[in-house]
Amino acid sequence: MTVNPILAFSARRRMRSARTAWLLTLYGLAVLIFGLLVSFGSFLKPTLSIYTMSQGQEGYAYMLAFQFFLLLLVTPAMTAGAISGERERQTLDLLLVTHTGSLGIVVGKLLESLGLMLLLVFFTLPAMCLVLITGSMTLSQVLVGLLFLGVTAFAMLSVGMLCSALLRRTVAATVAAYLAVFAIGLVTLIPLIGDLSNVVTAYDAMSSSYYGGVPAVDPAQAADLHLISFVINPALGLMSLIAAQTGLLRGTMGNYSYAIYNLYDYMDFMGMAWASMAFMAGAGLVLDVLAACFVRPRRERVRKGKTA
Amino acid sequence: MLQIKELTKRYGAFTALDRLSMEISDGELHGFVGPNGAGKTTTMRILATLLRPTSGTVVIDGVDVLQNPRRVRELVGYMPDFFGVYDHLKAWEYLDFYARCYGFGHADRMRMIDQLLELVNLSDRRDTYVDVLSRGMKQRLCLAHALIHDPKLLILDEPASGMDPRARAEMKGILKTLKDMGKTVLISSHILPELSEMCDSLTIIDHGSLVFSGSVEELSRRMTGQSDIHLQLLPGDDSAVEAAAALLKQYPGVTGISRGDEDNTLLVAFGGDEGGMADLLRALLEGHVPVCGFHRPPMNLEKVFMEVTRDDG
Repeated sequence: MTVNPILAFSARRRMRSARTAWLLTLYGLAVLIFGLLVSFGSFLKPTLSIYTMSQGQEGYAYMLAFQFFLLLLVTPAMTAGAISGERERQTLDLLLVTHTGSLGIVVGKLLESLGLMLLLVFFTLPAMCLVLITGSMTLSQVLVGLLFLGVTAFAMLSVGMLCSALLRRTVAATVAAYLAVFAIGLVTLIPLIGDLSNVVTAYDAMSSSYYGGVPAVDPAQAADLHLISFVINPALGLMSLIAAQTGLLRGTMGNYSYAIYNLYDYMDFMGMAWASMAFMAGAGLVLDVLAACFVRPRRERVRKGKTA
Repeated sequence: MLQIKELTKRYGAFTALDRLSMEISDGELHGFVGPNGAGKTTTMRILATLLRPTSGTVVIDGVDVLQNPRRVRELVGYMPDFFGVYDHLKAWEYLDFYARCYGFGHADRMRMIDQLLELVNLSDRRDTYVDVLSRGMKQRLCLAHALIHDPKLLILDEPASGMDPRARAEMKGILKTLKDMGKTVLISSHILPELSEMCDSLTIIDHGSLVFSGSVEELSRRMTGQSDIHLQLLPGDDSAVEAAAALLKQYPGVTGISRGDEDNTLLVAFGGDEGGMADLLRALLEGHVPVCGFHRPPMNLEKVFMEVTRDDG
């Protein structure tokens, strides 16, 4: 099996850089300190109870959310200079005349950045596994949580990659990547309005029949309620995952929708979390293919009315 | 090896290349000359498959650049005019990276890296980080990169620009070695004398159009006919100058007369060929003009370049 040369080469350069060592250290420390400050301190006691289990779940949720936002801060910049940096360094032409091809360049650069991101995420695995002590989470749940973070990183890296392929300057590509991530976050919230309305409609339909004074919720019907915004919006996707794994966030969601509050126990949050991961992975792939289309210069800019 | 026909490249209203046609034979060291902005780099980028032309065809070793760019990349080694290097990378790793990009296995890579470093005189810099190499060394390393896949045609865009005289001499030596190895080399420069010393043939372009394409000797021969005749008259004889000037003014084909730098020397702009020059000399001698010297010097290549690329507009 031949390793993508860009991947091997970029990884070698990246790992020689002192910046990478610092990034790993600071990221790991940030997650660990955050976890300890938020809740781990309270459950690292000689005795276990229901209360410490609940604390463990909360600690896991907080750490997952904290890492999610750390990744949002770090990832767009990781690939924003991947192609534009080669252009600025005047090394892109040398790559394009080899047999690697535009897609090979994009894949190599992306895998290298993704590799570092996964390294960052799994670097925090020992800290995340502290929740296992409480017995509130299983290892597979923690691994699924980290997988969600990895897929999120892939999608965000792909946004940065497309910006890098489209724009000539790394600074412009970086700014565009952050703006794009912010815009994606806002735009994918738009279906939430319709989703909330649909949930209310479904809940009201169910509430028309009562059994012993309690609305007769049909579990199958509730499980079929798929909220588009929870699939396409990464933050809401994360909320789905946390809800599915820990049963937390009922109150938070209930603040916005009494219907979700009442249907919470029946909704398929895990299904939505998986769908969210599939959506982000698919969208990332599309963005990467698009980026590959823009790596090779289609038009040369005429500088001061002349070209060499 | 290379056939370019009616190659045109437009950027909106601006025409960078205007129906350029030229040919290069196998094993030739071909100079590509033109002032800045003439279209040299555009042409070379099209040959290297980095740019698509607006129209025209380019065939390299029987392979059409537009139809089969991947195959062309196997045939062509390209060294751009401006290029960067990666930091945190040693010279051998730099070549190793590009060799991987060309799909070579480990054993082949290790063997060719040593050979290439030897060829470009960088064996002693094998483990030096590329970002600390001098400009000349980087140029040579980039040349080695262009040779990794053993291409038949080398496209070198201003490879000696910014080099000191010693580095230029080294580059010339390497190019001579490449020619001896049977490589066909297309090398660009905006300095004609620099190329004329080492090239078999030349193409001169200006404003995207062909000005001249042929051997260095042909160019020199053609341009010599446009230089002034140096007419040296008997020193100290002022009347000789007046007599010569009076005769020359009446002589057909003489379009201008001016005083030379040396005493009693006239520079005669004359459109005739060598036969015409013989007739002119005979006329001067029959007119009793005391001629001490009469010759048309070969045109200086710098002057040739200025002449052929002068702005007619």
